[in-house]
Amino acid sequence: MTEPASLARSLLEEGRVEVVVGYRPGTLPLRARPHFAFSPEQAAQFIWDRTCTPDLTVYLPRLKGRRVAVFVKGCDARSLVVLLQERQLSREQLVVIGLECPGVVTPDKLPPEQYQALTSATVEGEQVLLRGGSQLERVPVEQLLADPCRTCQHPDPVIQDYLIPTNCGRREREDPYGVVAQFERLEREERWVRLEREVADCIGCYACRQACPLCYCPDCFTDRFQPRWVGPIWSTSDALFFHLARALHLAGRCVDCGACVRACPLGIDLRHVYKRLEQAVKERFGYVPGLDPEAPPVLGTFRPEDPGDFIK
Amino acid sequence: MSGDGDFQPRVLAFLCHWCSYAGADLAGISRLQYPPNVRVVRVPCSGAVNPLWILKALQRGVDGVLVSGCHPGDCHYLAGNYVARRRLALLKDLLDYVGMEPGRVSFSWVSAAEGQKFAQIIREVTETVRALGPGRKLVKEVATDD
Repeated sequence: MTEPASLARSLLEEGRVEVVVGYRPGTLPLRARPHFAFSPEQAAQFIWDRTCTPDLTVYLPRLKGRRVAVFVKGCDARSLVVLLQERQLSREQLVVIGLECPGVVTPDKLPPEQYQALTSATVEGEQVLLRGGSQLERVPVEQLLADPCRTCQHPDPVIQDYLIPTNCGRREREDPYGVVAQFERLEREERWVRLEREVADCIGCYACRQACPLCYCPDCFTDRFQPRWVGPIWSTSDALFFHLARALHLAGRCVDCGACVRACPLGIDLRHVYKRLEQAVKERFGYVPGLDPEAPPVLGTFRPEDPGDFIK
Repeated sequence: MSGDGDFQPRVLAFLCHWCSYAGADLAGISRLQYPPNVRVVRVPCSGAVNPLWILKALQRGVDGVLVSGCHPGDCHYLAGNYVARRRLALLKDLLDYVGMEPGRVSFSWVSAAEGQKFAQIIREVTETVRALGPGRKLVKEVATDD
């Protein structure tokens, strides 16, 4: 039995938790899926490898008040910290199983035709073995690595009760704001055109919101009718409004787990916008989200000496 | 609206009840002249201003937005303007980053005694927005029946 499975099994057998939230192999290659184990028998399916991409903390606010064990990678642990900071969960109800994370892969990095032709795939060390019928191809993990993992500054969970170590090597940490600098080099007008083009495909399905562990509001502004913030006639203007408002709501909270980008059926990627706000929060207020469960949310507090250079 | 010469910008100003709104009042009773392009929304505190209001105003075709509150330390609710300052700083950074013109959205601290400063700010904001031309970036071009 794998280490995650035996640990989950013992937690359930000892009655320490009602449910364990983790990963099991998915039906599609390279996509592990969430798994909820309520009994020791169901715990046998748990796995942990580099296909375990989803952020499972998205399921936790709806389990508020219940005793839950959850598997968290570095980024997931940081979103969990934000949920604790915002009192969406209590630390007492949780058993946190930390996963030392070498970075996860996403099949979105493969050309769609190639991915559809796959029958199975496995990750072995730093290689991904792609099998399509009798064909076997090896590609480096690096090629399929999810974007946030390339710049991840905290791959190890910041909170945990148990820790499952990794035996993979650690990556060199790239500049987290490289994508921001790249966009900022463009002319102002060009930046707006790029943003418009990026969101023009948005159909307002709110998959990004649903996938986001920090978009837990039971009444999201997008669902309100009085006032109606977006729609009902959907246009690029609404898409812009929605994405800018979402970015503002995530300012100082987003931990760059990448769930919104992976969830988008139209491939909209606004990660650099969230990164810009993360950078602004760091520069202006010296705050990095998701590190301290006791810290007040950055926009719920202030310092008299905060910069006010932009105010006349 | 025809040429740029005829362009009269519409500026929406969110003024805090305790300072900036009283500052505007003082400008009025002092008979200070300032451009008539500003439409005032009185709010209890600059900390009550939801950044989404500002985006919505731009979407509905306002050419410029001003948010004005009490000077740091003078908030009637003790800390509302400090909280607003953090929030609005991020709105400004976001709008700058995505390519909104600087000057479309402005911020100021105006106390109840600063009628002169209020008139001056309105002059500056109006001229800045006039120079930028009509706000069009976020405008929704769909006919609605409201």
